[in-house]
Amino acid sequence: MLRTRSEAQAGWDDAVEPNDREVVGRLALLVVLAAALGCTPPPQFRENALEWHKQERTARLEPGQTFAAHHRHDVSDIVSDWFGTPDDPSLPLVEGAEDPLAQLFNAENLKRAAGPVVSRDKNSSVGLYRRHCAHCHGVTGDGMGPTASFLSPYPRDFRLGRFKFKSSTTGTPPSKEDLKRLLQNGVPGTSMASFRLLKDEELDALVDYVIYLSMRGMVERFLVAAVRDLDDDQRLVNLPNGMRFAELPSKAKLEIGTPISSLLKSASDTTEAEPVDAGDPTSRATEAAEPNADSVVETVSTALQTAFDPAKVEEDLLYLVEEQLLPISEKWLGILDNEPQDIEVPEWVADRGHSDYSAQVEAGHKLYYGAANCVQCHGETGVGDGQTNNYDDWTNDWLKVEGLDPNKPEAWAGYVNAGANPPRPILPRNLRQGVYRGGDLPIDLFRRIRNGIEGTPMPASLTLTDDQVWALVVYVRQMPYEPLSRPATAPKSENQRPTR
Amino acid sequence: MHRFWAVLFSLVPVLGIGLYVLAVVGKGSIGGFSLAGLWLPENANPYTTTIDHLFDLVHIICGVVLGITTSVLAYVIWRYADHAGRKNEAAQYVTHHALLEWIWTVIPGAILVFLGFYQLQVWADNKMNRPMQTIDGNIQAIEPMALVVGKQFGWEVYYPGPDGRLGTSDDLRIENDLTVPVGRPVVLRVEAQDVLHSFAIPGLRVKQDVVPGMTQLVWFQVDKPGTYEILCMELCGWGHYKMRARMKAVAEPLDGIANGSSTEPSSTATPVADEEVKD
Amino acid sequence: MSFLTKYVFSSDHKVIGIQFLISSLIWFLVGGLMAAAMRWQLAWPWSDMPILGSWLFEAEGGQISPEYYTMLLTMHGTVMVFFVVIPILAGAFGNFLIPLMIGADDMAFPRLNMMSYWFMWPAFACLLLSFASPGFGPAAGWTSYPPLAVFEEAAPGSGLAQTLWLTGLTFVGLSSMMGSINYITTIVQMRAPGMTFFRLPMTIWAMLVTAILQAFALPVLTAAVLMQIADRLLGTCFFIPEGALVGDSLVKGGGGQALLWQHLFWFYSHPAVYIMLLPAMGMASDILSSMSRKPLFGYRPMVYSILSIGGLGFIVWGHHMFVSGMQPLVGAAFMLTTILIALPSGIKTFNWLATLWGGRLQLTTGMLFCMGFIAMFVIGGLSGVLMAVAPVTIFIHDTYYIVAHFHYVLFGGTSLIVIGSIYHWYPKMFGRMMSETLGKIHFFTTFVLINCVFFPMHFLGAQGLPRRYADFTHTDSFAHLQPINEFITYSAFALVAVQVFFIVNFFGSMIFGRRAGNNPWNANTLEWVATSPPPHGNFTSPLVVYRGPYEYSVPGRTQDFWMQTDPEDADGHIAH
Repeated sequence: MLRTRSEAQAGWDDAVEPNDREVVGRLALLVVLAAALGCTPPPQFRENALEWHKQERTARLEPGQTFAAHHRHDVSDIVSDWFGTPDDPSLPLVEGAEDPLAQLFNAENLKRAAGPVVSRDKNSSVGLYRRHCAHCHGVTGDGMGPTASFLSPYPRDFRLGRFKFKSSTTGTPPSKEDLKRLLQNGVPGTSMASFRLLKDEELDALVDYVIYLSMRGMVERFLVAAVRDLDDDQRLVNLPNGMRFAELPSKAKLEIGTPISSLLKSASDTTEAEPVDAGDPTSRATEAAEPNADSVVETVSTALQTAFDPAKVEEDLLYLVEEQLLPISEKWLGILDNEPQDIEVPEWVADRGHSDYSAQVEAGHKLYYGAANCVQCHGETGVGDGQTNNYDDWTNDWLKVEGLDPNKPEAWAGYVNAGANPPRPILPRNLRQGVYRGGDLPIDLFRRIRNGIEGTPMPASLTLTDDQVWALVVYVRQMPYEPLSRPATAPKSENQRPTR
Repeated sequence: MHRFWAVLFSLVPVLGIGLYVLAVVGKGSIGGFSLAGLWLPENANPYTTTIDHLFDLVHIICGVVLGITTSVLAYVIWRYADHAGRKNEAAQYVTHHALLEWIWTVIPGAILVFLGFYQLQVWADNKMNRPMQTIDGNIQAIEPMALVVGKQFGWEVYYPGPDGRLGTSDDLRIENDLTVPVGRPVVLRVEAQDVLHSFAIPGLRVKQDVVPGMTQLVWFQVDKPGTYEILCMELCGWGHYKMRARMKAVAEPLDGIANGSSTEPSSTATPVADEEVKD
Repeated sequence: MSFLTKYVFSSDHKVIGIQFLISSLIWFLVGGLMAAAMRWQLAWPWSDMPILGSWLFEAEGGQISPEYYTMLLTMHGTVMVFFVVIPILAGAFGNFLIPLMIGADDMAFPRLNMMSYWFMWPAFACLLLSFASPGFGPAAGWTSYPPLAVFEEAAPGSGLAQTLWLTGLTFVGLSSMMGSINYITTIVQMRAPGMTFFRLPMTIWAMLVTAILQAFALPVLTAAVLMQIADRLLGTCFFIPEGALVGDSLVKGGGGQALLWQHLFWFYSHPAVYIMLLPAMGMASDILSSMSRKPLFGYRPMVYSILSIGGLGFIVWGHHMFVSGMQPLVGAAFMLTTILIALPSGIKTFNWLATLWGGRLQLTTGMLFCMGFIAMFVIGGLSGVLMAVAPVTIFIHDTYYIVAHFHYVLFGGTSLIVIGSIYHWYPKMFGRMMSETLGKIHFFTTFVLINCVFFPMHFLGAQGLPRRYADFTHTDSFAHLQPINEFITYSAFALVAVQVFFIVNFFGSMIFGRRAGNNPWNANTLEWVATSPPPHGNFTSPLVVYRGPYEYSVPGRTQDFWMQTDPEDADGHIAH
């Protein structure tokens, strides 16, 4: 007969049940512990190791020798004192809404873009940058997020403060409108997607945050450059040996320095502004120069002190603000009253049916091979096979400074370890594909040709007349449709029937 | 104990069908979460109302089968589980039953064959028979009004420029922004530039994978002005989830870039409903 | 015999079966944890992910990157399909049960059998190495659709990791191929005297059809995989269309067709769906019949259903491609065959219910899992009918409706049977009984939580929520569904956690379990004749089979079971 249920059940259940419970309990405890261990501290802005490495190499320190630890501490302490953390961004020494910097950055916008992604609160859109941008551009805006190394071209490193596609000329920052349009349209031909579906205020917030990151990165780079010629027994800010800037009582820090607004006012009032406190007025160039260590540092500090002298610290800091922060701030503040030039688009540009159209294409064709000399880089057939051994400024920034050979990985291995991407040549655009990174409206192409593309070998064509540039635009726009070298992806016939 | 299991299994038909009914009716809430808006989203495309109809029909058929089979399962546990109360009741020795087996082969078979043929017309309407229009007395297939190219990670929309033809140098391109007219059939040409994508608009029940190297057509008609989301529904890489575009359905005549009258999008941010239609 | 030859490099089918079982269960855990990580991301996108986040993404505050999510979904699918479900059914249970159930002393080719297990290890190695490759693993989905999987520029994981993935798949294929040749030969050639084909238990029928499916479909997948490797490494262009642009660089070559891969892949992978289901159906039939002490209802129709599922399984692959851009007329043809394949599955379900009706149900853990399987399979199967309706697929293709469907079939269906079968055959494997108390707690929690996880996905799918998205909260159409996603995530975590009951039971019972006799369930089939566990060579004396496997509760007998080897006839006479 079949055994009864109770017989079949009499296993180890009863005998060892307490053990079971114990085991289960311990496992549950383990799970809880693991979850607790899993919490990650909030992210921090990453130190610009690349810039440190570059300065170490070019300052001709012995191989393997690095700057004194207190230099690195000072720079990172000052930058985080001025700019805060990714979760809590702040602006350097801003006082009140009247402060020009407060107009450049809407505080609400920074708050909305910064911080961790909070998805539980349906109506708030904070953490925008980390939700949409950080995995490529990095929390720091260094273009070194986890996805970055797989992308071609590499994501932009904001810390150089250079932007390619803008309505302004090379050397001036893009307008907020430029950056916003770039977010809306993306950058075709790269991994930069279009964020058109984000709300308007979200885009504004991201634009502000990108400018903030860019500014922060520039200041950091300038400070690193300023350290370059300091000896190991000197400091950017004269604090007793072993004392970190971050350890200063907050009260002391607050008292230090004049609000930046007053500095800016005096700076913009007149070009030969009075030196506010210490420092040499001539070195305070209004157009932000590249970090140039030669003239900056001599007067900064002398020997390490043993006693804490607030007055001296204040003096040093003020000097740094003047020398490093002000030029960068002023450069960016310029975009507030940077009206885009009004450019008139000739009628024949967008209309293939216009009577002038084919003549202009022909004119553009001549310019391409002649006066404009596009052929040198973009190649005989326009497929971008002319000069292909150039590098962009983000790479040249370290590659060229030392004169390294891009083909010898062992030569620049140290830079890659410090966070640089392996150098890739910047290729001239293949004009036969109809993919234009800076936008494909005629006005976009006009600006690319007229202003050049900052950070790349594409020069501004200052000698051409407006009509000549427009002729080039028209010619370039119809290159993808020229039968001779029509690209394979172009539709084979108009309104083609589906293949099925 | 067997009663416990019987009750547990009876929850399958009760909750399985019950939740569906609640979701379709769209009322009630569970744990503070509203059940409204859990069924098919509103459909603005008259070509695909039959899809919704089929969706409901199959669900009703399946719901009946689900109810019968899982109820039987719960019942047999309740009735036939071995327990102290039925020590003397032996299991029945039944190996087969021809009539029963014929019944449950033929009836489901007939239903399935019916379903198979019933849906063919809907399939053809949405994938094979491109909408026609009459121009100058000739009936001809409607030509695509725009080309939509999927790429990592976005949709490029190409409108014919002033010359009215796609594939020429005055085509106008805009990222992630499509404008179509309300109330008449729209045909789009869809292509892919790099990898597989899928052109999908849940609000219109439209979906077509786009394959690099192939050209496909999709067609639909939007009866309700408004903004719809175009999504990618075929894994296309890390940014798959980012790949969405906006489709605005507006009353004719279209303005701005969709009409070739401007090189800028007609409006970047204003909702369609507020939009003033101008000539 | 040393420990190594006895337990590691053994050619004994039972040891190999248990090796398959344990390695698959370990991968099951890995795949489950990956699912938990995905669920974390879906419920709280871009928040600090425990452990993985602080380990790999510390600089981002523990926020994972989107390509990491894509890797997770790719590897979750790969691990679950190729490293768990297929090897655990054919490899573990096929190996363990086939010789025992047909009365053979071992497989026809014991050494080939051993190789089929050891060929899984290169596959394991490839997968583990691909986790350590740039991008942390392949990220083109478990279906590995080109061109995404072919262009290195297109996805972070499409470099070395993808090559390793393809190589690993080749090894899995080799392993399965060796197994299936062995199973076919063994079942055809090594049945005990008297074991005619129509006296075979359903498990064996299912294993036979599965092995045939594998033998005929696998070469196609292997060829396709090699073609993809060639596209990636040798510069061929089977799947690379002309003129594809990635970013703005023109991909070299061209002239191939991306859809070709889908045809080849699904020509294997749709039969593979049945490879992942038929053995489970067979084992369910055996457990249901013996535990309800009643003959299996309609044995021959059950066999014919399995055969027709096997046959139709080869001509329905196109239903994965309704909206792929395939010619719609072909789609219509595939739609009709797909609808037809629902019929044999339906017949099997009705027959199981008829088997239970009027029985004397022994509600053991194994039996409960089987009945849970029926309930879940009914839901998964019926939503499959919806998917066979091609116009509806236009809407629900690549939405969570599909995710719900195949998880109901493969997790709610197959995995429940796998777990139920472990409870059922554990006494034969290890000679001890598993704890029924822990087992029933495990069943109750698993059964409830599976439904909590996967049932709400139907509603997500009905809204059109796309699968394989790392984040829905930024979309207009789906942000309101986030509470459901959170609920699913909590349930999924609980589902992973309650598997602790099973792990404790599985390993604890090896030590604490009550010793099982030869035939603890009083079942009829031949494996219960052998001792528990059976020695190398299985049976101590030659067997003769006198009757079919399902002679339970035959009227006029004192015992309610009648073993296949029992020489007594109905009147108590010994047959000669």
